[in-house]
Amino acid sequence: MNHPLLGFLTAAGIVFFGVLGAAAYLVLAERKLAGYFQERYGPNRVGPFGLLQPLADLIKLVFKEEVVFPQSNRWLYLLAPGIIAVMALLPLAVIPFAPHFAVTDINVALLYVLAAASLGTYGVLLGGWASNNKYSLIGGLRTANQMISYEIAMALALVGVVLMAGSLSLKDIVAAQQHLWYLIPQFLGFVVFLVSMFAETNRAPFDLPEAEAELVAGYHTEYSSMKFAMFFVGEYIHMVVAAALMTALYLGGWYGPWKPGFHWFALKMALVLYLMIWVRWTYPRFRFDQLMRFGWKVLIPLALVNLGITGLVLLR
Amino acid sequence: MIYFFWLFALLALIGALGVLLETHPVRGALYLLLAFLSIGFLYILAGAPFLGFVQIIVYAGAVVVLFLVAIAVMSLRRIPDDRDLGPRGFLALVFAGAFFLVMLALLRHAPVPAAPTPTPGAPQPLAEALFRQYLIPFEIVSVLLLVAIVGAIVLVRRRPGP
Repeated sequence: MNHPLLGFLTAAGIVFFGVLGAAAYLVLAERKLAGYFQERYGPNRVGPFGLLQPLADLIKLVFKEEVVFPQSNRWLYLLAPGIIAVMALLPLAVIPFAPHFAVTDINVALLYVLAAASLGTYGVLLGGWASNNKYSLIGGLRTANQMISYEIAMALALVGVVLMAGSLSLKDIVAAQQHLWYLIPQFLGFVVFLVSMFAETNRAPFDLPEAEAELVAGYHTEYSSMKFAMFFVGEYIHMVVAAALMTALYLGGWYGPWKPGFHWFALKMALVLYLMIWVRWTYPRFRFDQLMRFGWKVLIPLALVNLGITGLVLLR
Repeated sequence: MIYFFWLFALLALIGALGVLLETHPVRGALYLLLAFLSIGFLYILAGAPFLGFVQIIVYAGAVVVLFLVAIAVMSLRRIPDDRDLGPRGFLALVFAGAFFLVMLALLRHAPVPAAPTPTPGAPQPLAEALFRQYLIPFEIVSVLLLVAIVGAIVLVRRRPGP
């Protein structure tokens, strides 16, 4: 009964359902906080404090009519939301949530995370293309450009962390931060990573792919019901993953005063998520050319400077 | 493990054939993606996860995305199927067949390398090899790539009119 696969599957199940639940309540948290930022209450009708709202949303989405437009490329159109959700979930397999809890630990974990992030682009690009709608197509193309540009900055920022920890495994990287979080020595890298994460998750001020003022809803204009829900949940899972990565890479993971453990990891994740929501409801959207110029002419040089300084300090 | 090898080898072949035979540009690019991904998984199965993931990031994640963007921006439609099956096609077939036979002969006589060590290829040995043993060739290749990039920019640059 004590098969090694069993423990692996149990851990995977805990992480999978935990993150799905977290994503569902993150939607509620975002709506609540958006309400408070705008001096209104936010959802508060379904259950106490609106706590059952995610359930109501789910039921609504399940029972909505499935629409597949005849002009769309059927196979790719149906595949795209799945790609988004799966690629958002993949990095969870290597994130160490507590000292002895991670689904698995591989020695090239960071590359695995980057690979999943770069494959996620296909969901948006193919969804936009297969919808056969000009707004969807433009949204998809923008996303592809945005994600490729900001992934370069993100990867370059990560190299600094890898140089300091001397490992690509997330578990080793967290363990290397027992005494000093990388937030301090890698501050520049942290800023670059944070900004690229906003772009990677397609959130304001970088939500150009679905800029509703110009593109209707961007790449998911033609999606309805559960297919839309996959895109939507994919975005929130992406946020959870981004917060978990930031916690593990820069904020010392499970370390904290008194007893290290999962509660510290969860607390730091919650703070990062709060920051992401705060920024979204505070700043307006960039223009697309500003976005590209910022990515290539500010973020990538900054990441290179950070890399150079890290290398020099480590060599000394 | 061996079943996974056959699965991904088969998928890589399907992808490669699809690239050759498909006339629709987007579907052709997706076949290319299938081939790149399968080869990445083959590297991982062969005990070289670093190489495998780099293959997926660079080829599957970046190169094919750029192909798709280019196809969508230029709104390319189906290419008319006017493959030349005359004398030139015949010659190509002969050379491809000859190349296949040479590869087959090489494979049969080449010494089979020992199976990769059970410790999955860690990034450290790869780095040691690249930056100590083969430092000069590695740097020469990177300069070559840089020259290619500069060359591409120079070729497409708009010159100020005379």
